[in-house]
Order: sequence, then structure tokens, then C-alpha cells
Amino acid sequence: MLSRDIMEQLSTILQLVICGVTNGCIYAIVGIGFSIIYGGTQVINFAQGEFVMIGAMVAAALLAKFSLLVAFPVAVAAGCLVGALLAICVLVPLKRASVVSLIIMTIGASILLRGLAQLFWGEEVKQVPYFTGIAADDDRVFHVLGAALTAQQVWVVGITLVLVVAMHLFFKYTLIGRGMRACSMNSAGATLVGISVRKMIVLSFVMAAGLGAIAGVTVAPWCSARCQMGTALGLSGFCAAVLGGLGNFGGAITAGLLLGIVEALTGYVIPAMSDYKDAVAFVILLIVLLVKPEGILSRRKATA
Amino acid sequence: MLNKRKWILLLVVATLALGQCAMGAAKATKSPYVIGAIFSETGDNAPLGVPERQTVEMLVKQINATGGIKGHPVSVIFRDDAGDANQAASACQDLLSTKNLVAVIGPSLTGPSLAIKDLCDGAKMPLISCAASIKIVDPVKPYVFKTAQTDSLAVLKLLDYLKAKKIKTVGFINDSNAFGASGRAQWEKLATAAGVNTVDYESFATADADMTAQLTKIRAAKPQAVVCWGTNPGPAIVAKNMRTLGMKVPLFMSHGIANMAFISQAGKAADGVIFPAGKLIVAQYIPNSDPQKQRLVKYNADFRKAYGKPANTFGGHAWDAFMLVADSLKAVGPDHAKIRDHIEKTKGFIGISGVFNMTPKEHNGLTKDAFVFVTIKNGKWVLAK
Repeated sequence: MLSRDIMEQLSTILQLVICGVTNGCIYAIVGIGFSIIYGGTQVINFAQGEFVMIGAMVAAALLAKFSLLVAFPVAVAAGCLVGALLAICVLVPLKRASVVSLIIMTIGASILLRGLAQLFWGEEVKQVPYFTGIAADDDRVFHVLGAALTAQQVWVVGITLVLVVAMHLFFKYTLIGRGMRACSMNSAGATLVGISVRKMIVLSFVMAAGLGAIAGVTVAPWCSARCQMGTALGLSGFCAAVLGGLGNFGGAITAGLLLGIVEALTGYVIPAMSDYKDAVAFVILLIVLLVKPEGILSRRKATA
Repeated sequence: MLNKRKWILLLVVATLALGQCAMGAAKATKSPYVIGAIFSETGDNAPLGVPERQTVEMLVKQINATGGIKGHPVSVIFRDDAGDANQAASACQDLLSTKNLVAVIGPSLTGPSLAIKDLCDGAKMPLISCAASIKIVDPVKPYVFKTAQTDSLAVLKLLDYLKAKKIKTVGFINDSNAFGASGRAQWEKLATAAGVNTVDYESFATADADMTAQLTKIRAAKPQAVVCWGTNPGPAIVAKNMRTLGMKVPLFMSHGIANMAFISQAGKAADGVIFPAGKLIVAQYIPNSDPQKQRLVKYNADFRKAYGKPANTFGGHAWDAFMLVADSLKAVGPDHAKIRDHIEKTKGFIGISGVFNMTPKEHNGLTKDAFVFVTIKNGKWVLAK
């Protein structure tokens, strides 16, 4: 039998890993969103985090009056709508604007979305009822080997798994999915075989937004909904996407999970860093990009 | 026909114009006293800044309804710093360049207050902050005062309580913002001397959504209690996380959580949290013999009537700041130096945050007695035993 101290340390580490994985799932979903849009348009959409925020805020507003079955799809639809609007804004100048201008436009869009959200919903932190809690503000807790796991965390991980599998099947086996992959590989060639590149671009924004909104609704009960939540999430998700290789979904997922776990453990290993957890993502990004600029799991060479 | 219409029209316009002039002439009494106010009306700490602004607006209405201060109407220029020190600094610059400004009240938070205190002192503009950190008035700057209870007092009061309950070891977790950092600095200075051993220090960033990692470490150090120092929304998350982790040790917090946002954010996890607070939130339990009782009850009733919700501790800090300025204006008029001198001589001023006694070395003017211990039971504040 292991000594008491070691058991305690193990359960502490397990606890941290549970938190890390939960955060990591959100980073992974946001990272996939970045990859989808990058694949279709070469644009890094810095409003990705705001899609998560919209999902969370709309859910927070609706769940006060409606059940989850109504609020969830409406929140996701709201996110998709915003994604479509953003796509149209990007598409209009696409031919004549440089990629950098479009990226800056997405930064502007993120600021605009944050401001509108604050105007519309106020700046307070909004509590969102747990999906399967004992009460709206009291979640079920499972104790696993001395660590606490809440039901909402299980939801986050579960829904992430479902989304990942769904994305995999979508891009591999459906016609639209393969069309999107074709566009990202070679847009001129895709046009030649009759794929509407414009439609694919709008679709990629809508998908990325929808994914973000799903993540937002699911994570909101756990970490509360607030207008500023998208900023940190978006940046960490961006780090995950780049670490895994932009455009590489498997990479985004792995990197997201790793990032979440490393963030959580950093505070444990280096006590002074516990309030700089967000910086961990960027430090790792810096180191990895110096060594392997195309990302850890990417099979492509880095482009300028 | 047309001529007649034209004349009637002219007559009507002339009458109206004359009427306006007459009204204007009647209103053109004395020049207004202009006060500047910087509060955190947006951002995470809006639950502090909004009631502060509402309190000042209410007081201005009350004063102007009775003819102003010695006939001078009072007006306030409100600026929002959104909790950001830089925005506070630029708002302050704007205010300082306003003609005839008599004083600045606010900001709501420690960070912004520290950012503007030198600006105001340098411009010889009286500044009465509504924030807590001792650093705002220590070292003392002649023109800078504050009305919120100082965090060092809160720490001392909490240490007294811990000693009385025989709690000897604690885990300390704080928000890394100016308020939390200042509280921690005071704790580090005073706790060991009071016989309380801090077995683990942790901190979190204001925007962090999950403190499970830090609390897991604190739990491993096995303290008898946990002390959390911060404003919104971190402490609510700390309370929720402790509940999730199944940590049963008592949780103590600072006066930074003395607002309803904490209770609504923490839900069930808020129950049982103990913290020192000004007497306002438990005004109904304060004995009639307390000199503050009447004022607290009146403020509560007025605020409720004006805004439909109970008065709030932070609004109380703004009440104190505004009334200190108003009283000075009544006594000595709008000269900056005279206002400053008058405020510095404050004795026995019955405010909402406490009873103020200022001296040249003491620009907050409150003692430990400004605090009582409050706990939360079923989402409501009650006196702790």
C-alpha cells in the first residue's frame, strides 16, 4: 500500500488533471474552430473566443425562462448566425484584401461583439443552471480516488468527444465535408470541379461558430457566463490550434488537452505561477514555435 | 388676414420667450458647486460602482430639492473607469482640467485610486476615495482621503475573530489585483504576530474562472480555515470550488464581498462564509444605542425608495465621501485648501461606513469598531456569533 503522503499527492495531481482536461476540451473545440476557418480562408479568426461567449450568454439569458432543450439549440443557432454574418463581412473584400487585413477585421469583430454583448446583457457575471445538477445552482459531485469530478465537467468532456467524432465523420465521409477539405487544399482546383468556394467559406464560419457556441453553452454552468470570457479562451484556443498545426484537427485536440493539463499543473509545480496560468499557453507556444514552427503534430512545412 | 396671423404668432413667441427669460432669471441664483466622481460603473466591479453612483445621484437630488448648499446648486460630473487604473487616470486628468471643480470622489477600487492619488495631490484637488487599501492614505498625502474601511483594519479584526475561535493555521488565497495584493501584504505583516500560522499562500487572476488547482494545494496543507481576499467574481468561485471539493473547513473572506453579487454568484456555497463588514448590511440587527443606527436605517430606506433595492456597503462609502465634501462646502465654501483642512479636522462624523475621526496623520478616520462580523444564512446576511 502506498504511503498516505503519496496517495494525497496523487489525488491532488488527479484533481488538477481533471480541471486541466475540462479546460483543455474547450481549448480543443476553439482550436478546431480556428483550424476550420484557417483551412478555408487562410484567415485566423480572432473572434473565435467570442462565439463561445455568445453561446454562453444566450444560454444564460434563455435558461432563466426556458428549458435546456430549447435554450441549447437557440444559443447554437445564435452563434451560427453571428458566424454567417462575420463570413459575409470577410467574403466581401476577400478578393482584394490581404489576409492580414482580414485578420485585423476579425479582431475588430471580436471587440464589437464584446461591446454589443455588454450593452445587451450587462457586465455582470451570469450564473447558468447546471445541466444535471441536484438544483440549478448545485451540481452533482463524484469522488474518484480522492479527487472531485462534477457532473458538468463530465458533460464538457462527453460533448467534446461527440463533437470530435462527428467532425471526423463529417470531413471524411460527407460530400460537403470533403468539399471543404478540397477548398482548403486548393481553392482554384476546387472551383474547377464545381465546388462553390464562397459557400464553403460561409459554411466554415458557421461551423466554427456553432462549435464555439456548443462549447460556450456546455462550459457556462461550470465557469459562469460573462462578456469578457471569450478573450482568454480565444487566445488559449489559438495557441492550441497553432501548437497542433493550423488546419490539423487532431493536432488542435491533442494540443488543447495538453495545454489545459499543463496550465493546471504549472500552478502546482511552480507556486508563483498560479495566477499567471493564462501565460503558460503563450510561453509554450513561444518555445514550440522556435523549435518547430509548423506545430508539433503538423506534417506540413511552415508557410510565411 | 396674413398680417393678423403673423402678429398673433409673434405675440405668442414673444410671450414664450419672455416667460423663459423670467424663469431663467428666477433660476439664475448662485453658481453651482461642481464635484467630480470616478466610479467603476462597468466591468467586473460594476456591483460596487453602480450603487456608488446611484447614492451620489440620490444625495444630489435631495440637496438640490432643499435649495442646494447655501443656495448653490450641486452638480456632479460622473466618469466611469471600468475598474481600470489607466482609464481612471485619464478620467482624472479630464476632471482636473474642468473649471470650478471643488473635489473628486471615488474611485471605487484600489488600483484606480492609487493611480490618481498623486495626480490629485499634485493639483491640490481634494480626493476622497471609496477604496480600501491602506496604501491610499499611507504615506499620507495632504489632499487624499478615503472613506472605505482600511484593509489592515479588516485583517486585524479577522485575526481577532480567529484567535477567539482558537484557529491557529490557515490557508490564504487572494485575488492578484491591487485590493487582494494589499490585503495579502497586510496579512503577511500581521498574522504571525497575532499567533496565526499561514500554511499556504495561493493567488488567482481576477478573470480566472476556476480555482480548484489552488484550493487543492491548500487542502493538501491541511489548514484549520481558509481566508480568501478579493472582490468580484473570484471569491464566489472560490466558495463554489471549495464546496465542490468537499472542503468543510470554515471559509473567511474580506469586506470586498459585502454585496449581493457575491451571494447570487456563489449560490448555496455562500452559506456559512464569515467576513468583517460595515454595519449597513445588517442594519436591522444593530442595537438602537449605536450612534450609526438611525443614519443606516434612513439611508437604507431612501435608497430603497429611489431604486427599489436595498442599500449596499459600497454605496455607503460614496455616501460618506459625498457628505464629507458637502459638509465642507457648507462650512467653508469651495476653496480647495479650506475644504481639505475642514475634512482633515473631521471629528465624530457619523457616516455609513463608520464614525470618522480624522487627523493630519489619519486620513481614513475609522477604527476596528467600524466592522461587525457577518455571515450568510440561506442567502441573507446575519450577524455572526
